[in-house]
Amino acid sequence: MAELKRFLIRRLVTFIPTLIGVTLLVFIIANLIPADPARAWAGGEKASPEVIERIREEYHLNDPWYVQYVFLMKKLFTNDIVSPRTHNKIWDDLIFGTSQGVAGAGTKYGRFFITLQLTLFAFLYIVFIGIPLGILSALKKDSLLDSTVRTLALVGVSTPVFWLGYLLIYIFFVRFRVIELAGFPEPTQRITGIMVIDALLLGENDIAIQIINRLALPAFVLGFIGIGVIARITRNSFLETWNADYIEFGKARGLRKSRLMRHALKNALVPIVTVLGLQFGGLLGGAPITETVFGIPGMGRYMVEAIRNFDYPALIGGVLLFALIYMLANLIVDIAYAFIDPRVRY
Amino acid sequence: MTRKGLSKTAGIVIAVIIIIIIAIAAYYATQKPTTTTTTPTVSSPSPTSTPTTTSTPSPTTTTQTTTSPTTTTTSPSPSPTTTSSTPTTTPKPEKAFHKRMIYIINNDPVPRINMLQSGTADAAAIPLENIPDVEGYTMGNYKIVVEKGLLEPSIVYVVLNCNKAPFNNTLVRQALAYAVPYEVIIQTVYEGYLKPLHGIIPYGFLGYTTYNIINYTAIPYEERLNKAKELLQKAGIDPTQYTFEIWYNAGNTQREKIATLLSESWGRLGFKTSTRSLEWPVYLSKVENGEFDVYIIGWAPDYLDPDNYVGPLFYGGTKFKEVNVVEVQSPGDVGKYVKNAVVFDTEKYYVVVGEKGTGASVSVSGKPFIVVSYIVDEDKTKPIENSTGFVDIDPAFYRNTTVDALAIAGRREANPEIREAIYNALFQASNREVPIILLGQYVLVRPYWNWLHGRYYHPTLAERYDLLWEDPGAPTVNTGIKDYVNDPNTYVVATIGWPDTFDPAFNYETFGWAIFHNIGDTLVTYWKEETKEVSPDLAVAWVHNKDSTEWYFVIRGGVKAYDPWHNKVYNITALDMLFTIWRVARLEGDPSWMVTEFIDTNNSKVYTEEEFDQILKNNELIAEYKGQSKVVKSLDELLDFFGYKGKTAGVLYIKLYYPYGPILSILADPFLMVIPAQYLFDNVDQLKGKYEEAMNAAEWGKNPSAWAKYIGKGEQEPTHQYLHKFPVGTGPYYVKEYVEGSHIVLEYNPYYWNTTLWENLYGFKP
Amino acid sequence: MEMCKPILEVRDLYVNFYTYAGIVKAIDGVSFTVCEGETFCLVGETGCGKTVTSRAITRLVPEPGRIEKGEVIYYTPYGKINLLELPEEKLREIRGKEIAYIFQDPAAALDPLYTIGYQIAETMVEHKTVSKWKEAFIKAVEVLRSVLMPDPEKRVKAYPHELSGGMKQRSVIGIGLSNQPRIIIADEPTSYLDVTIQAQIMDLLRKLKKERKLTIILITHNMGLVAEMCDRVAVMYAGNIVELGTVEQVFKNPLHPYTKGLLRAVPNPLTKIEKLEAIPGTVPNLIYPPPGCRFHPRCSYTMDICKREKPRLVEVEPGHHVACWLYSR
Repeated sequence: MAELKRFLIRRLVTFIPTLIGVTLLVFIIANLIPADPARAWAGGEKASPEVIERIREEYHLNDPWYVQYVFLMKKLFTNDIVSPRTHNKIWDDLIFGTSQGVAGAGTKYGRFFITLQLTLFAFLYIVFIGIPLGILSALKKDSLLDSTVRTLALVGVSTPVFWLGYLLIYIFFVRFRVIELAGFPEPTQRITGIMVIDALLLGENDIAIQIINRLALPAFVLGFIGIGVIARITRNSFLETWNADYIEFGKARGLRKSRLMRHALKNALVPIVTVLGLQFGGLLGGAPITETVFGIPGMGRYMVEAIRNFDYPALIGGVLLFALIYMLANLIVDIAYAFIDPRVRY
Repeated sequence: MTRKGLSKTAGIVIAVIIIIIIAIAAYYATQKPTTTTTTPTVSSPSPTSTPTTTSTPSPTTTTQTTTSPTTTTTSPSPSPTTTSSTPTTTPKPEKAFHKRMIYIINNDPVPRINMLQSGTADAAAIPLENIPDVEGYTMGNYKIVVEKGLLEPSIVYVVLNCNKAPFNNTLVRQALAYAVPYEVIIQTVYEGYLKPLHGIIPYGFLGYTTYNIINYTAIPYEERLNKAKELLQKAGIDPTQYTFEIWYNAGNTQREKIATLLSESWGRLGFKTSTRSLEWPVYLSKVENGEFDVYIIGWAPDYLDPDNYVGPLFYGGTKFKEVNVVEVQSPGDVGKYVKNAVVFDTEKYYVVVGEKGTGASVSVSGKPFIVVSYIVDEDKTKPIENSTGFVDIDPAFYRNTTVDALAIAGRREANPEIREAIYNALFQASNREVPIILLGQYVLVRPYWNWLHGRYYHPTLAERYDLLWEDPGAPTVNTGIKDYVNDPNTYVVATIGWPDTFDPAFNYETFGWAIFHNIGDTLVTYWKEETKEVSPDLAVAWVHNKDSTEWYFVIRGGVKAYDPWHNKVYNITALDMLFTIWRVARLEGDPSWMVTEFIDTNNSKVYTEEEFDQILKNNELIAEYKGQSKVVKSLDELLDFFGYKGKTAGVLYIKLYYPYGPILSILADPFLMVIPAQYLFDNVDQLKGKYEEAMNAAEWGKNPSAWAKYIGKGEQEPTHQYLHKFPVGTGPYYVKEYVEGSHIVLEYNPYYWNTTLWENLYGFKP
Repeated sequence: MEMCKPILEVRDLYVNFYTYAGIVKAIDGVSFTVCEGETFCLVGETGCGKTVTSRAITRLVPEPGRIEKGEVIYYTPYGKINLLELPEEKLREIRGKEIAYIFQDPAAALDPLYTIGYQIAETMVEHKTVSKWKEAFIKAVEVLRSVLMPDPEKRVKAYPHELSGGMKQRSVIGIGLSNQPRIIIADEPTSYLDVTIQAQIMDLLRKLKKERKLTIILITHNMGLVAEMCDRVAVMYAGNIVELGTVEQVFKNPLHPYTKGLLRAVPNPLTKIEKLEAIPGTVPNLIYPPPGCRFHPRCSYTMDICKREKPRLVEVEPGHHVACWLYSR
């Protein structure tokens, strides 16, 4: 365990140069584009020169890029910088929520946490539909079920997200009014950052149900591709382990099927966990279309707008968050390996 | 075949069958329904349900019995209203007042269409190509109607770089204007919802004219191409020698299509053309620096005046030492004022423009003459190469001294007849010179359910939602946002985007302005569809001095601002209005130029009624209202002239840098809605407890520049940050709650100063 | 010779593998009897079918294999049962409890993600040898001790990759023995081990057999091991048993040409040979096996009848059987 702690600390330390590297890279790329964002921020073609000049000064756009970068990072660190597009502090927009404790004004949860919740739901779909389907498919190899699942997985990967969204909206909103497309229910207090957990902790079960109802369909759409991918990976990985010698030996020892499956599954986990980790990062990035179609005010949409408008502060802040989450997901995957496979050493 | 092979094929067959089923379902999903659809949450529209009094906080509406003409409602506000089954004192027709207004935000058109169809929204922003999907859709006895035909003032146009060959030749530009495939663009890009415009001023604005102009769409397309080729020959240029790019901003599919159509059509003349898309900020950078050939862009006016088109889009940046305007009757007198003459034959006048001097002669007669004489100030005029598009010079980098002189003259002219003639001339000039080719102005297309009534259209102001109403029998549908339902007392609109900010001083876009128009009051406003004259709003009466550089506004008494975040009420006086306008200038937000360009805020002041009465007595101040004009000598006389009998709350004095007639239409713009100064001082951390101190320093309105110690500039400024999150206002509604990117809920303001209007219209008393 | 009290009897076993290339007739009518308390060896080249036979005994033949025909009679204290007709659940109870296996590659046979203590305990819990997991883990230490694992308290918490090859195989043996089986089927238990460790493991097996009165079925291709360990031996070739008898009989007096060839190919401590000889030819393709005697293409004594009819096992001397037309008419 002490080794694990040292490993963790070492990895966490590598976060810092990675974050700096990522944000610097994005910043430089954004700066390479010969555009003057101040004009767009100030109202486009109607902007007056004084306003543009003031914005330029405030955001240090007249200074060389490294000065700008340091300024941005410093201000981001202290949450002292306001997005010229949303007029909110970046971390308020993304993490802390904008309502400042006043009911009704904005949201208690930042965009990031809204997307995170959506992503977690999608992740649950992937894990609880994809993995069992994959195992079933593997156990009944080459059967009707197996072929169907594999073909559907292929269909899943090829389906455009918004098309699926439209179809499901037609069924579950237009024909049978089961879901809602507007609003975003929130519990009365923010505790962990995940709305549904907070609602349950506070005993506000009806709000928790509303949240689940609101997110059930968009999460399914978001996770759809992932379900197919995980089903395939699980199937292959499981097949590999199911044919391993220790399973045969297990049979020879007279172990019952469920016990054997435990062995097979645990061994199959390593590639599955790897792919799940990658999926999680991908889900975060795949959210914009789903969020737009279902009207969810999340981070995907926010980042698309930031990119469109060269909103540097929001861009860097968002990139920072994304990078952090990717690295954390990878770290969790690596730690998970250590718990699953004793042969893995750090 | 082996057993395995068999099951493999069967598996694929099953999967294919599932896909086919899904495809069929999807096909039906996209079909336009012809039968009535009923949604499961629709409550019975029968008017025989009995009204009940409940004290539950849920916003339910009960419909009235057929005997009683009043609508009894239960509302989420403090006290429930009681049932009345006897006719009340106001026998009005059945109208459900909008107690609540909800914006549902969704940037994808399909869910918006679904929300409109299901009745979740009463109106929605629908792309033009989807209008047929919603038109005629029914629910019970109601259907979706699509209002078409009204012309919007927003325009779309093509900019030619007049600083570059071949666009520096007028004949070439005219040829290009002829060769635009207007019909195809209107049909395929706008589904027919665009009306051609051939000059810089759109229909509905002063100066628009059809007299003596080139009608580029009078002849069919093929003939136009020939005409264009003739013009090119006449100009002596060989189109095949020229290659240029047509730009549009990335993501705008309409402009993309236009670019392609233009490229193809101009290619037929011989030019080598191509199209290119650029991201918006890049786009702006390049075009403002003149680094372009041709680009497509749009324009929407900020206030109701042709100067808001001519100024930004046609004026070439010439600075003048003098511009004079005089009306003469005979052609011979023209030569007394100008040494050379460019003559415009407009409908009622000949407009002659020339350098100040003597000696010019004109060969026309029969109408009076408006003579504009000028002296150019070469030193102050920026060279074209150093100018910035939209700022120093028009976007086409076109500079024409005659045009510029006319533009400046029009800006300063007070006489409406002369002004009209000047803008007619400018229209003609833009029509012949075509530095920018107008494609057209948008036709308003509004889909909504026909249980919604009272809709009207104003070119620059949004609708007031309390002036719209619904049938009390209209269906009620869940919105999905908390417990809010779309009942007849709730107006729900599904739309896109998000207001930039709730602080009017920083907001320069239409969404925000629509909200401000409903939550706030400006000094003056345009009532419903009125475009010619402003009406009193916060100001009940106003006067100005002879050269329109000084304006006085008498402020209405009894106006209260409601702060829903702390449940407090503030009394509004002239001091708040001064503070509001001063703050807009100080913060240097996006719309601030409309104040800083014209109003000298630091020398504007507040007067008491007694002081103002004295000022009237000692000066020649003119009041104009409803076509009448009078010099008034006392406050009573003034109020009488405006027909106002109530209380007043001080007088606001505004000083302009130079005479600007359209100043009233700027003051009607929602970004100038009044903000109670004390609200900011009560709630912003840096200002808490300093209200008295700050007001004393500013001598209670005599010295506004003292406020600079308390209010700063920019997006990070504390009052901006506060107001950005916690809007406040005096208008018919207040912002009850919002979630960025998701929804905004407005609720009727129980402290609104004009609730008698609601009583008269709907029998509703808060 | 002692009286043979049969404990396991394989009768007429046929096993086919249904592959994409064709049907592999892997086991072509194999019959033998194993006596209680003896060490019975199955010997032959790679691919002759000895592993499949050993698996078939408890219906462990994996897909795409199928047991076509035959019986495996198991003599319990309560009577005889045909293992091939037993319902799966009952068969599972026997596997790992009364009949235990030892596999070739101990590294592959152990699940790398679980400690060996867990895997031992698991086998015991499964067969209800113990009632609680806690007990099982304590007993696991004893099991390891009984297979002479050094430092068993520490090793019981070890993962397979932390043990040497010999220790791993001891663990596998421990797993096999944990439920007090009557029969151990050891499939080439030392092929993956060093020679010195081989000897240790075989000593261990011998010791355990004596202590617990086990019956061992040993599968190997190592004639030397056969000579050392076995009481009786069956020689297999291409899915058939070609010779069967005591070690003395088969080694001193090999009857079948294949057996003779085998013994000439390896050093035989029981007799003196001049030089080692290889058997000409290769193992036949079992999808299209040679007609008649499957060995006839490589046999120096081939006769006409060998190409037409398959010889049966006939007893040439008491306890010594051979399947060859040289010895039967």
